[in-house]
Amino acid sequence: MNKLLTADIIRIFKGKSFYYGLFFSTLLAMFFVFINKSSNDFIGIPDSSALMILPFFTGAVIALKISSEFTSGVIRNKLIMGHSRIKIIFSWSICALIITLLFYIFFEAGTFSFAYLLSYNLSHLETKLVIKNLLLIGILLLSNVFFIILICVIYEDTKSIVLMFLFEYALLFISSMGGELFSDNKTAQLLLRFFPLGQLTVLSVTKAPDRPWLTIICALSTSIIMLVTTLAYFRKHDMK
Amino acid sequence: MDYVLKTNALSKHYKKFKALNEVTMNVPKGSIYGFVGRNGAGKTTLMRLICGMQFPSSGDFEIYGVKNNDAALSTVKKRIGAVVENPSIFPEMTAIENLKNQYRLLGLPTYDGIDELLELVGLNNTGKKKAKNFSLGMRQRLGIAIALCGNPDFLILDEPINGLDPQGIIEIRELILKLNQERNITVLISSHILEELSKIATHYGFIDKGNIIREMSAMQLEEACRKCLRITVTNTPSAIKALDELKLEYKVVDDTTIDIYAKPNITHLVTSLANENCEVTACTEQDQNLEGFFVSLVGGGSDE
Repeated sequence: MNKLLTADIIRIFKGKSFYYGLFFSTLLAMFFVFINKSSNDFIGIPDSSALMILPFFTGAVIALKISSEFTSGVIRNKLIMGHSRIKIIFSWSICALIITLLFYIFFEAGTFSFAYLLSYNLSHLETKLVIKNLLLIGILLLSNVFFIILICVIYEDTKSIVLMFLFEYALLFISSMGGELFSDNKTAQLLLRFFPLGQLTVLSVTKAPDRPWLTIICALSTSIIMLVTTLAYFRKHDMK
Repeated sequence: MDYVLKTNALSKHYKKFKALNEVTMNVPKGSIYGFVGRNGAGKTTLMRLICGMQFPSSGDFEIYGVKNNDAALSTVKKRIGAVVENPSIFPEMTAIENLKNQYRLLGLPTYDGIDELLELVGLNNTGKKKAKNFSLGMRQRLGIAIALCGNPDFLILDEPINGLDPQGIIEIRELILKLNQERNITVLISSHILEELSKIATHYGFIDKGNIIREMSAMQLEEACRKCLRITVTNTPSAIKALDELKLEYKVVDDTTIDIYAKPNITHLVTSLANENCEVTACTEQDQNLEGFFVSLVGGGSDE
């Protein structure tokens, strides 16, 4: 597992797509901060914008990295030399979590540092509340990783990137529409907790999150279900 | 005899289609095993099963005596290098980067040996050129170099000379021979370019429609393809008596057919046979090559 993980991590850090993704997502965060300067409206950038943008950026990079293993045939090398399919999935998962975490850290660092540089009024933000919300957003983003891996394993090629985008768009649409339409519907609100984009209209760094433990449980259960489904599928699946 | 690979009634079905049907084959240690079959005969499917990319529908296989459902297989697999279908390389990486990646996957402590591998496959001057800009032959050779990382002693090559120019074919052939003779690497190589295979293989396995139809050594094949005069006679025991008297080397093929491995005087031969009350109803010269032998095994026609 260590060999696999070392090789996968080095490959990610040596690839340009990782740095492009990191650069552009951070740049986008700074752009949002910049265009909202006139209204001094910082709220919505570190929370909703992160939930809206990062799944696309991290998803694209992760899907590109994994699908390229299938298209180049390098996954065959892993299997031939005796690495188990389960270890391959775990290694990908850890790498994908690292990518997501780094993207998130850079996004938030870009947002806050640029806001500070542009002299935004951040005095009304409560540190404790901000950290609590940011941690929650981070967990939601990390849970998204397992869904991307499942798609990549099913499609085994770059088609998975397109599918991942379509799914994230669909969720974005449902979330932004549904969040308001079903604001009184408890079942709908619960279902939306299972997806990072589902919390788009709910989470804000200025207010205490509603039952954060429930959101964490939902995110964790989504992750576990996705991971177990991926393992079950990939373990017995004949590769193309 | 020691075997590197043994398959036992190995089958692979895709819904109703039988890609492999109870295949039993044995790859002897130290051999270059030519796996011969038409397109779609099941060569790649078998290699995919051995490499772990697909799972058998039934049957099993052993690599160095370890069965495919044994946990120890992952250890034994470290002794295998393979290029199945296309070479497994990252196109965005250079040859050295691709080899380094393979070294890391194998968990090798240093990058020692990469230069030697590149030299072995003739890619030591590729520098910063990315694999995507390599010619087909170069990619094939890089694939083999990757397969050779970690010093495997069993190499699986699926159609390694497909699409190569004559120079590329010669290079790959020489490389395979070198690996087999100098490093004692057992090679399982599939191809449908039979003449090329006949220049290197020490053993053969013929597959058709998912069935192994024959396994033989190169010596046996040579025997089967030996130039001879094939006669069809009306009385085989009498013909044998006459041939013994003429002191000719021969082999009885069936009840009416005899192969004579010499260049007898036809008049003398026919007269001698006639004296023994044996008529010659047909006489043909047999000079089969591997291609002819393969066609005689599987029959002609389309591979569709």
